[in-house]
Amino acid sequence: MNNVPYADQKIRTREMVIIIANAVIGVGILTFPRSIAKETDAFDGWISVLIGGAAVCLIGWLLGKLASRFPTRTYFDYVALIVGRPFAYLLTLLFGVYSILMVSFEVRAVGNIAKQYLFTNTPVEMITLAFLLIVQYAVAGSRMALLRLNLIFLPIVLLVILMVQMYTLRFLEWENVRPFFSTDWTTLLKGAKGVTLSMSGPEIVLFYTLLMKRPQDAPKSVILGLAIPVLLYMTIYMVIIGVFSAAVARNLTFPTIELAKGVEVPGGFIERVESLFFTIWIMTIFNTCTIWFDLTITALRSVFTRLSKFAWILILSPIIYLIAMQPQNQVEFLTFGDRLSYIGVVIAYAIPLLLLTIAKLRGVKESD
Amino acid sequence: MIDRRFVRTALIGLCAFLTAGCWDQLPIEERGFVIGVAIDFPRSSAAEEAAEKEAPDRPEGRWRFLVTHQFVVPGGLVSGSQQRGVQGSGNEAFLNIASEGDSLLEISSELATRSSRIPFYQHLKVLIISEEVAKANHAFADALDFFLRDPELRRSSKVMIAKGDARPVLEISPINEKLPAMYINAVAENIQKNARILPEIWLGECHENLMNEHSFVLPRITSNEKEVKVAGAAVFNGKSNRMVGFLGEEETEGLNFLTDRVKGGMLKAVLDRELVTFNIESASRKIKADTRHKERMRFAYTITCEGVIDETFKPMNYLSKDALKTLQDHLAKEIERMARDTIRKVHKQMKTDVLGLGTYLKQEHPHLWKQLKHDWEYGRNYFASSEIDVKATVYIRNVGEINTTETRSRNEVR
Repeated sequence: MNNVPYADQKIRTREMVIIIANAVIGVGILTFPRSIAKETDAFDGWISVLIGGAAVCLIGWLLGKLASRFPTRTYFDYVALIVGRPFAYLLTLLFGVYSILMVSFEVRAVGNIAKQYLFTNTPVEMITLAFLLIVQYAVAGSRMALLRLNLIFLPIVLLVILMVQMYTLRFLEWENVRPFFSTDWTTLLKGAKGVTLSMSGPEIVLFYTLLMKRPQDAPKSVILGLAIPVLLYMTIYMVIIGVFSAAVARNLTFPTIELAKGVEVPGGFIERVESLFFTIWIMTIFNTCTIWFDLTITALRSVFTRLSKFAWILILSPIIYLIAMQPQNQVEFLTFGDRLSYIGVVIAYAIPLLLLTIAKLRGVKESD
Repeated sequence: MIDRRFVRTALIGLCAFLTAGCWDQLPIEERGFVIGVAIDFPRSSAAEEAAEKEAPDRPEGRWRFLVTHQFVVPGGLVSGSQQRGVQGSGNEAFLNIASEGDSLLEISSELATRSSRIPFYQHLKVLIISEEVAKANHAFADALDFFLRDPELRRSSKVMIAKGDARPVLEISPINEKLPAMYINAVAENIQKNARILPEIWLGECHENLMNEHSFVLPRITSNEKEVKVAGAAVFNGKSNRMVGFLGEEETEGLNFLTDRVKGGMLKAVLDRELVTFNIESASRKIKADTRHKERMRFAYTITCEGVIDETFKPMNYLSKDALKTLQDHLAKEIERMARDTIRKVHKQMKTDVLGLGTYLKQEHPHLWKQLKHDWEYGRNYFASSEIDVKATVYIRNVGEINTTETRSRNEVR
């Protein structure tokens, strides 16, 4: 049955690149210019994006190395191989909790932003619920279809974001851009920290390498997959500072949305391009959300093998919804996001890197 | 089996009915599209006293604003209703509602008690602020907060300062346009034709200006019954964010030359008592700075301007090199004159750096700028103690279709 080439159950390297790019582009894209501008207060922040991006690439590459060391095993299995079953239970569950929080955060982000800009009178509970139901529906279906949805969405997302940048370029003022290279290294590194934190996503490679046709390509695909958002973030940051100036950018709640709102397509026919931007942004969040939800279920099913996928969806959805509804206002929501990034650094970066070191030292490999 | 299928279909159908809906549904006929807003201080305190009587303990702001909203009346836009009557006679394509209150949101919600349509700001084109509001301490920033904060609003509305009150500007009845706000919006974009119009400033740029500590300028707008005039500029002090004065039309032209904002327009020069008019096609400027002594910095502007002769009353051979050269020098002198007048006013009198020198230093001498940032326009005021010089060069690229209009010698006729 090879007449439908995409019906196979393995992911190609190129697909993995796109999946990772999509997982990384999420809520952070709306807020990151603010956090970098707050630290660097200059156009030079793009260097921070590069440094932060490079750091994430390095971590992602190492995560890929760890996963491709065990090309046919689940995360739970190889953690068990490296540090034993009790730890494997603990770490996989921790990862599950982290990914549940991720889904909650993304779902709530859609709710908050859709309420703020699109449906002012609709309760945020309702918007969030509606979105969660769609995510749930997607996750209940075929996983391969889900992953391949990324392939369809990413080009559209990139196209619209590039369009937004192109049409706002004419508002760019040189006085906001110059001087170049006036920021010192410590400031740039502080900015880079913010970038590293807002780029969660490459950790999915820990779970999906097993599905790859060529698992040995995992490290490479993480780096390529991260290159897309890093370049995207860099250009967005440049345009935002050029258009708004650093002083304003650090004062806007969602600088990227404001940028989209500023778009004026010549001819005056389309006046509200931001609606298009919201649509595609929700598409990327949908992708990110479904990936994380799927990951949650994968993680939990590798520990509790008895329950079916569908049962897990039914159990997890209310939990996700309740967590998503915890932040009572914008400030709490943003704090939730910040804490989540720190949790991510520990659970998705530090622990797996520690595992990789142990595996190297002990020489644990697939064949064991 | 059939029963189950029936139940299932019924359930799905029911869901379709129960879950479909929209909290935010608002028919377009019920939206009041606000296209222009004018902000004043109230002229009388009658309304304030009435409110005071009704609720003496209500929270009060430092100011009371009188805000005029201009709504579109779609019925008036239909081409059948051409004839114009008094405002509100039913034929007008717009409706102005003025209301008074402590905060902009209060006024906006107050409108709902008087208008059949709920104000909808997404298509706001112009924001006009009265001289008085602009001159009061912080009132300008206070007046803009609502427009910057509310997600419904966009940062691309134009902001202008009215000479005198802002309300009459929206109350004009232009002859060839149906909506005053759209008319003003179009006038403000005519910088290709006139160098005395300050390029449009958006709400977003205003925010930028308020956040940065540089002094800035906004376009000035004046009005009579039938039309407006967008020319001249309002100068704001960067620290207090308060308007300190207006620049006249010529001074604005000088400023546009000095800040590289000339996109077109004309220049007049007198040559042997006869007028020559020059059509500007493009202009650019360069700044050179001598920053050796902080207390006595020297800035030299070089303005280059290109264009064609479009009208002249001076008969001479325009195809001769020497004639063109003399003419170019005269025109250059004229630019220098205007620029010096502007410099005298903003540098010596107002002491505000709207000439872009601070920005220049920040870009070209970032290290120096870091040291004297706080002593530039304030404190030790290095800006005021600096020296500014202007040199202009004009290039006449073409003299038009003809050389001279008539062959007489003017002196004989006189």
